[in-house]
Amino acid sequence: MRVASPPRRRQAGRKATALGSLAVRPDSPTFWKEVAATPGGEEIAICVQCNTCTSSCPVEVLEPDFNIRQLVARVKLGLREDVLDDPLLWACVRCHACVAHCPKHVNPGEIVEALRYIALREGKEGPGPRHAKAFAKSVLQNGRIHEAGVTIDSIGWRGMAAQGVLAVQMLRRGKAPSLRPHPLKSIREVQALIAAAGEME
Amino acid sequence: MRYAYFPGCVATDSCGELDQATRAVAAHLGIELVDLEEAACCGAGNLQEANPKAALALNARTLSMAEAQGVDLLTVCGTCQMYLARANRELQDPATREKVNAVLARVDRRYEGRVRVRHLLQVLLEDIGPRKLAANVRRPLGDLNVGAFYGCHLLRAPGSEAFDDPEEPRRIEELITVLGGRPVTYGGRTSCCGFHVLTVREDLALRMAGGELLEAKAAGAQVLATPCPLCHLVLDAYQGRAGKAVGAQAGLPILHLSQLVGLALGIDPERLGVKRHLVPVAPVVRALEEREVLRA
Amino acid sequence: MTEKRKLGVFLCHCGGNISDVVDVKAVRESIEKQDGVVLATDFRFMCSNEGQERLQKEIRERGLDGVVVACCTPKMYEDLFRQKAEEAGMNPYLLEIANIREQCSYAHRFEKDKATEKAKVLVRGQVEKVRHLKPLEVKTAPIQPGVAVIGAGIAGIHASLLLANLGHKVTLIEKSPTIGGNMARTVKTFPTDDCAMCTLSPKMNEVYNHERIDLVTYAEVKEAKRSPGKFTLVVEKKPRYVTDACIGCNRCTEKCPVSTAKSPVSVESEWDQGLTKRKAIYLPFPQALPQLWTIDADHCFYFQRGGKCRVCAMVCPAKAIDFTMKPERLDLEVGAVIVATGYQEYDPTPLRLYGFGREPNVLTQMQVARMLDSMGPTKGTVSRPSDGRAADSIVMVQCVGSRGAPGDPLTHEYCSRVCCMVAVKHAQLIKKARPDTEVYVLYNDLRAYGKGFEEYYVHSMELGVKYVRGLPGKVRKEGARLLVDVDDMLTGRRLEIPADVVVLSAAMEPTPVDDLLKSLKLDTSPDGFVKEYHAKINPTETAVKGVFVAGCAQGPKDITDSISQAGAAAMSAAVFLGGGEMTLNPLVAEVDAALCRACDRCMEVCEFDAVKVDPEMLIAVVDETACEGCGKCTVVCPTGAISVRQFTKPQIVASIDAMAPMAVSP
Repeated sequence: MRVASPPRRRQAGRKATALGSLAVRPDSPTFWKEVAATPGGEEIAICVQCNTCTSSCPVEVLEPDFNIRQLVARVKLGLREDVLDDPLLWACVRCHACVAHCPKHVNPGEIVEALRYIALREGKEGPGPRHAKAFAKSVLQNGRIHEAGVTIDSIGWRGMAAQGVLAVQMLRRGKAPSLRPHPLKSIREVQALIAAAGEME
Repeated sequence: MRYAYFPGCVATDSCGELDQATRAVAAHLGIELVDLEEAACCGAGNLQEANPKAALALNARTLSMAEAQGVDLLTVCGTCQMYLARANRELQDPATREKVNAVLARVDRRYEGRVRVRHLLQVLLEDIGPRKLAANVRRPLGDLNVGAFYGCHLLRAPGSEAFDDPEEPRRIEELITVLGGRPVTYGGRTSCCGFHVLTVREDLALRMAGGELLEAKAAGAQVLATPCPLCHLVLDAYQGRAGKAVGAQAGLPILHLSQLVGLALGIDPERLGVKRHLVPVAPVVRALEEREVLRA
Repeated sequence: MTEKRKLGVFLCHCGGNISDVVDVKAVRESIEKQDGVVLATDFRFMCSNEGQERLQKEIRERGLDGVVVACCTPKMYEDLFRQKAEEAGMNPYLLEIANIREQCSYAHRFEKDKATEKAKVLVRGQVEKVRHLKPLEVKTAPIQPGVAVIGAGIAGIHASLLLANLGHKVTLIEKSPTIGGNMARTVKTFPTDDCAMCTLSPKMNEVYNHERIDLVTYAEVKEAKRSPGKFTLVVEKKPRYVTDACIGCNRCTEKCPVSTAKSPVSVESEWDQGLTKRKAIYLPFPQALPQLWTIDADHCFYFQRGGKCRVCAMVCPAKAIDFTMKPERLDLEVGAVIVATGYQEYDPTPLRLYGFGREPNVLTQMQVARMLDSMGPTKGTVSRPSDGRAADSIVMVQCVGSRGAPGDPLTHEYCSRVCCMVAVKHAQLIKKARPDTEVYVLYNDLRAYGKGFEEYYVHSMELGVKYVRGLPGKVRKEGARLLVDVDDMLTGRRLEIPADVVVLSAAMEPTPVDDLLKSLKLDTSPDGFVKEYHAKINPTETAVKGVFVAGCAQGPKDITDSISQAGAAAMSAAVFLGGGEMTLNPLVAEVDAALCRACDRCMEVCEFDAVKVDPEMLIAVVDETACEGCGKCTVVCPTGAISVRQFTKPQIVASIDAMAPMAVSP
């Protein structure tokens, strides 16, 4: 039986009091209702914490602190900032294995979507929010994804430099994404639709 | 056979060879692709997080375009398949559809829910069919050990369970066999490539992909075929970095499904864009050309 | 003993099950030469019609007076073969089975030679035993009609109704002034959220009005004696000091000085679980049956203070108070007894980390049940006893007093089974009544096993009940509130939950009825509940023939299971009572009076209360209606006076002597 080897770091992302205590008080008792009212979070109430989701997760095997079951439990208990400030909220790869396997059809993967939506709405920052905002901006401006633009907006020039020779290699093969955006001819229609969609219930 | 063609954003940009190869294969097999030039991005999960209502409306718009043509929607990307099929499923609910149609009306569009969202793999195996495909094979894949990398979204998009078993899928291996090849299975073939966290936690994506590539290699695969350009990007363009992350290089060429089919059909490799890959495909092409069979 | 006998030996092939391993012909050859054996024959299937006819034919034609059938286990066909033998004219108790299947061919499949030798030994032994058997007579004994049901909670009530409807006379005895038991105060029942009294009250009324049920309340069984076919119970009815003239106007209760603000004496209300006080004269709850007021003499000023206070008698318009009433003795003779004495809630005071008893705002689930009663002490709102304010944050703690350490005298080792569902029930009732209340359930495992339970639990989460996996380390005070320290395995966080009220899901304990159990000679299991005959396969009978157990007296269970078990107990009792006569199994103990010296040892070891030393004749006497023939007494008897028929020492020794020389070494 193989066991994931990296040591678990329970302290990651948690805030200690002045005396070092990591005990928390559930401060947002209606947070679960907020999530239940967000697209993707509708079924959060019926999660029984069986752990099938985490057991199916390809990320948890490599990064044990990313625990989707635990994330759902933290939402249900009312630990709002604990969840929305957690950088690991953005580590989910959207593989939908948890969604496929959950015996109660809670859709944990879609709860992550709902949480990210709330986090973005609250103005949370970090590499995750940055990427999501870059993507949305590209859709708004072009109707489609301008890969190069989204990449630079997401990881910045420093991030690009960290890619090393990859960019060069891709350039040489003609694989590098187009530097110029190509907005749809009907971009105005797309923008009008996006604006109108905001009024939907 | 006519389909509204939705290549998605990556297939027409950094993985432009996929669009190229798909068009070549379609032409060869007599599939008419109706371009939806004004269709917007499927959202890829990111837009669903940033602006879920906009994402639903934009996908409804894409679906209404296909419906207006009276055809099904054809995708060549796992993620597009996932998010378009999801939107389509939500739009089957009359209340949701009416809500969205009220918004679509502002841009003079309407969706009645009659389109099916299908991936190229489904179309090849269900609409074209194994017999016709096999009959068209000019370069059987022969001794080539071909592994499949399904990618999670294609397996788990709504409606996929009817087409293949999400836990132990077989359809790509079936395609490989139809094309005269030798399918190789390995544990990681249904795992995730990590594309969606490339800009956030590249380390995770590299470790995932690196591990899967080595597994495929250890199982004897000489080339991998994948139905998703996002997986392709990670497995091909990032193969070097992935190998560094897990301590060993796999050196496996990665083909898009359309390219695999195109090569087997005897289409000129130049037209399939294989030269664009970072991990050279040339050895595979050479091996196939040596076994080329000319038929009357 | 060994006159010229005509013994027949029938060897069965069992269609190969025996003959594939044991060489049946060889066994036959070895036994046909034995002394007394006039017939040794083999057959494919002795149990078939043909086999049985063969048996009967040989018995009749040869006048056999002893038969050994070598076949499968006696548990399968011993009764059948004996019946057939009897029909053919031979005493059925002269037939024995030699088990050469389960104990031979099955056990030694791969050693055919040795199996054959062993079969020879087994058959020889039984033949020898049969040679020493005497014919036995089957006797019957009358059973006293009538059933006593002790305890009038839901189990006792249900069993009584079934038996009474079947035609039996039932005496239903209840210790408290009213029937209904614990179910009456549960307010609602899970998972249907039915009003408990609405489902219980019709049954209570049915029992109260049933012509074949004699309801005896405010009474206890003081003594119980067993004799063949009968139980004699001495029941003491406590005096209520209130006569039937009572019209239920409640004036006496209003005026009674006990438990008023200035009174030096106050009594905690049992009904309200100590949340309120009651008067010395009281009706336990509005729908109590019988609807009779009762004076609690232990707290009444008239009785405790020299007869001066007579307020109730003075204000009673019906003149129903009678201070001269005396306890009444009721002698009851019944054929069967059902013990349905129910449960009580564990007192969590010893578990000091939870603060029960130390902190006024730490309660038990039964107390909360009273609070949730809209006619109860807090009119349906869970409130802080310290200041009466409604609780905005409630933390429930599971497994208090249950699932404890083996051998710990302060807690119980068992799981009390129902408390998970009780917590879910109360939690969702609270959420429905006051949705903004925060309710947390701290649990170890959540046991929602029954029909509708999972759906009920999931629904509670849709209402917003929060579940924390982990039991608390401490309940402490923080200002006017309590703080609960708990590490939550689900969120991976160490929590401090502020609470207005902490509710402990305390264990279910059996009602203490030690004296009753002693008089009925009933054992308790290590967990303290009444010991059933067999935990898995026979949960309603007890080791004492004629005494049955039902409901929580036997173990923790919910109302549905109590009703099911009460039905089973009633049925068992009805079967036992039968047509008024029981057929006695003759294979029980008997005493040779000449050898008995009344040393009491057999009486001491008998688990079935089936042998007693007659004090006048100074001889042990076996009650054949109760003896199970287990043989324990025969082991301790110093003179061999007591023995079990067909298993006497000479019979066994003869068998062994015949087998020993043939023993097969492994």
